[in-house]
Amino acid sequence: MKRQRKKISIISWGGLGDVLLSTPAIAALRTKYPQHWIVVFCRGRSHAEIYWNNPDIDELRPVSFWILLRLYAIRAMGIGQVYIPEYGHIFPSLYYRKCASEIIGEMMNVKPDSKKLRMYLTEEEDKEARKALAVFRNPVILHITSLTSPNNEWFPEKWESLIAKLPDYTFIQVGVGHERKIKGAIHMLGKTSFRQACALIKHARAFVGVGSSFSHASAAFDVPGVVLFGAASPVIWGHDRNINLYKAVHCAPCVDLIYDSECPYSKQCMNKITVDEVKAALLRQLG
Amino acid sequence: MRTDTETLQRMQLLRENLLSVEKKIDDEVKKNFRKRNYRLLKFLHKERDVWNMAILQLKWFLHELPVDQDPVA
Repeated sequence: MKRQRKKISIISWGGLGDVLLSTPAIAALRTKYPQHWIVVFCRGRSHAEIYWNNPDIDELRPVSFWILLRLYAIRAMGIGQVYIPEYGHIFPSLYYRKCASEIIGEMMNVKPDSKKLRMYLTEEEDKEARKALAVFRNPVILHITSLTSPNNEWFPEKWESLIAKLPDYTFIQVGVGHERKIKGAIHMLGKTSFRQACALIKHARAFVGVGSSFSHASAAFDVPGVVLFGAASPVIWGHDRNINLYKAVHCAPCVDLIYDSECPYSKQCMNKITVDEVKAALLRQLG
Repeated sequence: MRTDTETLQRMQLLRENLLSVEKKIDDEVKKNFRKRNYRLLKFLHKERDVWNMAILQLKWFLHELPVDQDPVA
């Protein structure tokens, strides 16, 4: 069966958020080529985890140096359909005014019907997340770290102040083990896999945090979110359902210029976002 | 319309920004060429141009800019 079908190869690219952002384009590929065999070559298990159970993908495979070499050669010679959604290399925040999933669609020669990100959890994962959150009152998932650039991060004392101002809500901080712990939040840092953390987001009341893979996950599950942007542009990485807080200072967005270098202006873009503003946005999202 | 004093104050602020950017460029350039952050240097170079241009425009506004230095004319 597989042999008879034409093959489309996709090589996963970027951080976990970028992988999630590629899912609308893959869905559009599936619609455009319903008979093709779509294979995603994943750079690492974490990329594969995002694509698990995705009905638009026929096969997930790990990538090796030789496979990469072969696929790049096929692409260069134009003898097969090989897509690598490396949109970060074309400086999206400098030259585009549309969201990342549309840019990735453009790179794969498809126009996604919807910007909806897709991640498919199992019933078991849903059940576990519901059980874990059942003990908390009004759980709100918090994520404060951006692996792309520290210039995207808000200040820990401001997060602590926000939590102190909203005593009726339980803030559950997710992320990896070495991230800074925020006082007043329940820490699940390093205690969950990415999928488990996404399941928590799916069953929480809301999400609040910086632009990161988790902010994309909140959009994938239609969970109301408040996302803080500084170095990155909400036009590219924001989602319509979230409230995207962004101060357009003269030098922003700078992520495609200075990447993770230290901000020469002491992160004025993030500093201008006030605790009250985030609180008001979060309360609006919580209804 | 802003008064001349207000414009001069704004020009002073821009000069402070320019000086701070120039200091950061100097600090970066003092490093060994292999250890310099070239992304940051390019960004700072652009920022230096931004502040320089803003100062020149205010100078033009105050009739302080000689014609041969006018970047627009």
